[in-house]
Amino acid sequence: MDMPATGLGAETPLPAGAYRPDRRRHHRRFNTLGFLTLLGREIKRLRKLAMLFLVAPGLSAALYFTVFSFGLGDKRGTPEGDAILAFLVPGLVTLSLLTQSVQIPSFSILYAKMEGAILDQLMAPVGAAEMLAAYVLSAMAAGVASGAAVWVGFLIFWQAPMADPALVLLFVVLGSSMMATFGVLTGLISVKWDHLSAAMTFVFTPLIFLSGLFAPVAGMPGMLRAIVQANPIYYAIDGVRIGFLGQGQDQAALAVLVLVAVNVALLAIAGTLLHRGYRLRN
Amino acid sequence: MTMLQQSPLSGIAAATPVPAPRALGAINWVGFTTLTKREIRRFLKVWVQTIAAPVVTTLLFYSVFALALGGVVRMVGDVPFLRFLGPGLIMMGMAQNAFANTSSSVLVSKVQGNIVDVLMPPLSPFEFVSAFVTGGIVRGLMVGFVTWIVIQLVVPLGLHAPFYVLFHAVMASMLLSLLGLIGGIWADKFDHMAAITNFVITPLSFLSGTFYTLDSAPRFFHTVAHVNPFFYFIDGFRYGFIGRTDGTLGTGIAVMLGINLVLWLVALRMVSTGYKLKA
Repeated sequence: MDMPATGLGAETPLPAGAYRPDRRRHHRRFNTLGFLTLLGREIKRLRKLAMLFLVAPGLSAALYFTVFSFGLGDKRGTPEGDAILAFLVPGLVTLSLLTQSVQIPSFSILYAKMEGAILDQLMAPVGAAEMLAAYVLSAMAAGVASGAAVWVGFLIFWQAPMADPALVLLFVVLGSSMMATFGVLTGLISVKWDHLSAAMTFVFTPLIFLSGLFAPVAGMPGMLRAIVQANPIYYAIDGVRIGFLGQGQDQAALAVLVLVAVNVALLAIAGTLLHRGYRLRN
Repeated sequence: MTMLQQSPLSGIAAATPVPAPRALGAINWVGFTTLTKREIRRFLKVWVQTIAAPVVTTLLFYSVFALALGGVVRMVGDVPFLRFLGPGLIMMGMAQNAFANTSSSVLVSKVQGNIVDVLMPPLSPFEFVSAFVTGGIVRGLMVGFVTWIVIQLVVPLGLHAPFYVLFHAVMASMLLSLLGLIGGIWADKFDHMAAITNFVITPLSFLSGTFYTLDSAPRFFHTVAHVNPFFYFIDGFRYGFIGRTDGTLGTGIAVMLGINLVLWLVALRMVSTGYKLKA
């Protein structure tokens, strides 16, 4: 009885994909299998949360819409009132899109950290690029699903035709990826639930609300307008609105430029932090 | 031998007096104040989340709705829109936080298992409910007061009838605290609580005439408002500031007293039977 010194040698036939301790597994620079697995897990998580990110935002959008259409009072039913509501619908769709995009990954990462389940993916051969791509894409999917649910709900009682669907799609993608990356960063930086809820209440909700979401920037006082225009979320909301209403395309180029720049910067930061294992590996 | 046969217990019994049950009187004040203090310290410890965050959210709503719904010049009747909107938003903040305080306290205790700490001590159902409700009212009033101070710095809201302000503030906080307590006892998971907040509390508070007068809403929503307790306490609270009312104040007070009474009875019954509290 002599065992091969190298453990399980070539003589022992093993099924494909079996664990071979004597062999180093090779994968390409981007581990597609790891990425798909992680993405699949995140999507499965989303399926269980459907109530949270589809129904609740839909309901709150309907409430905002009701409140606004009554709040307009005697303006309701006039062309001016119509204009305000037409302005509002893309804003509410984007609100839902952006809020869910930032919430989903931050929650997922912090939860995995708190429960210790983050080890499962730190041990696996997935690097920063795979993790970032999986988190951002799944969050974008949640955001888009949530925004679409709100939009379909509006179609029932407010016909909001999309003037330029391609432009809407472009800004939806840019806006949700920006917020998703913000979400990944928030999840990485947070250590306790308090941090996450503080980030939502004191950073993201004000940023989203003070972005020309409900009121045209043109009507704002100078100081406030400057603040709003320094807010990257303003460009996402504005872009989606341009696509919906088909007006003001000349601003679209600037909005794309700002969003691409912010996206690149955020992805670089998040990638670096993930690569270093910032607040992941202690 | 004789020494041993004599029961050792009888010797001890002779030496120490028989323990008598503690006399507590009609109301166990120590128990009540202890639980009340716990309820208040519970939210004050995380005041950034429980006081500052709702104030910021309310102010955000205030600025956004003020900007979107007609700015500075718009009037509701003879009252500027900004003065009309302020009291309603303060009340919304108070109500939502009173609800959040009791519901989260009970549900967290149930989920974590430390609810036994308040079930074991000699607290009657009345003391139990009163202590939780007092915690909720204190949180509601603190959120409301801070929001009022901040809004007052920017938009003077005026004060027409302070008694109505205080009465409606306390009544509304009590109503929502009781609802939160009942909801917290009923819920088994955080999902249940989130569902109550999303599908009951938020719609009730939005469709209450905070952001619009009933004159501007379609007929159907008049009916909705008049079966919505939020409508009555927002309307009465706003009357205390601006002296203008959408409904009849007397009806509102009767409705609130009636609902509060019913909720007290439900909560007392739940605690005394131990519904979903004592497994």
